[in-house]
Amino acid sequence: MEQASGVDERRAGPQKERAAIAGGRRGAFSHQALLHAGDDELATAAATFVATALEAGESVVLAVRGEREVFLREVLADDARNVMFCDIEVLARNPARLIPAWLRFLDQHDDGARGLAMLAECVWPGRSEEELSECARYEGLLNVAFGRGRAWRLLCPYDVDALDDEIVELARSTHPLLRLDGKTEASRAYAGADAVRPLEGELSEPPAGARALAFTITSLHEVREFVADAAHAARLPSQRTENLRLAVNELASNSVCHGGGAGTLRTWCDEEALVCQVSDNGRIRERMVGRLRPDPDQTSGRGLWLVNHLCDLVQIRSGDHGSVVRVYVRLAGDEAAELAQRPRTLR
Amino acid sequence: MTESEHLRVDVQGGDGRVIVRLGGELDLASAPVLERELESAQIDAAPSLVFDLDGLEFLDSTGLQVLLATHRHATEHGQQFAITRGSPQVQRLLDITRVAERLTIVDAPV
Repeated sequence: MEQASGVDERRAGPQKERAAIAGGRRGAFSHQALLHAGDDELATAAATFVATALEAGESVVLAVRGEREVFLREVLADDARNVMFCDIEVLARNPARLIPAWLRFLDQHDDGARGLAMLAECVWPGRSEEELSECARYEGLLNVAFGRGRAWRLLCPYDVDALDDEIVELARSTHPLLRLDGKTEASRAYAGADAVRPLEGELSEPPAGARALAFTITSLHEVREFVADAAHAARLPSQRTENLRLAVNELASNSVCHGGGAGTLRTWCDEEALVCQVSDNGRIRERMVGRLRPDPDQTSGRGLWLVNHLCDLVQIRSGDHGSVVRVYVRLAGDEAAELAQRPRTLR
Repeated sequence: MTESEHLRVDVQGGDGRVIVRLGGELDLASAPVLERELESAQIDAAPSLVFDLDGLEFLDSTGLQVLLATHRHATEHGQQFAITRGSPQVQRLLDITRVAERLTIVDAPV
């Protein structure tokens, strides 16, 4: 039914990519990595960035962690009143939500007369290996989503003292421009938008103790029960259990519709999250899958969008061998605070 | 009233308004059951359609597609269309997909 009635979000291709970038001011998207050593260099660079942007009449947004906001407000002094802060730890928990957040933000704030200058710290020390691999995919896809579209500026801080060299090298390959020692230069390692392959790569093997359930269209109810049981065993709070149940249901439905009619669900716990993985024999080709907000009127193509907004982290890999989607919902954390915060953040 | 393994559909008419009460789970597997139930002269002739979702324990994006297709068909044919608020799970689905902005949501079916 989904295939017949509208957009298949897994295979939509360049047409949907173009739809995301249409409109807006003429010019170019500027995507810079700010390679700074420690907080002092960040403070200096941020102050320059904000002062220059305000002077040019741009709207300024600083998407940073809460502790950085306090510190940057002090550094910016009077200028802090003219910028908007938002909490990147909430916004970028699942990095796949960032491109739609920025698109929404552009719709709200780029009125054609004022430009937009944003500093967004998506990568910070302490993020897990899995999160960092998704952050790198997000950074690459930014060039796909905005490369030929609207003019705005995005500065992405990377603390070279605190992050692994490998992460900084990735930043050099996903950013056309580097900001170093107060100067902007082209990144020689930049790979270009065409080289972005977010669906390639292998995920680690599920642990030996993972529970597995093979499913078809007749067992979607059992899929949801299986997830609810795993969530109960992991003492997941009720709201997150509901989110995960819906997310995995969407993944299993995708397997039934596009992945050969069947798939396998695996569940396990790691140190911080309940993890669910759905694998099937289908091939996902749309590299922006799940990152472009569905139109309220479109009749299909909402599955992976939902999954990205229901889970704390989503990893999608697809190739000749089939597709694997792994989703994480955190076990701990203040659920009430998250829910309260959501409507105010950029979605 | 039609009942599949996990979905109940109950269509009630009267006063120019047809109420479609859903119970259980509306998903990829049960959506065709609802689609068949909606192919009726009573539904087509109703000036006003209200879907009572309050008895739904689960709604997914495929079930939502059926509601959206019905909404579009109703609008094209000059019928009024509304849904009830539904469970927190239903509200969350409508919210994330922004479908809540497009549909008329009522507190009670009558």
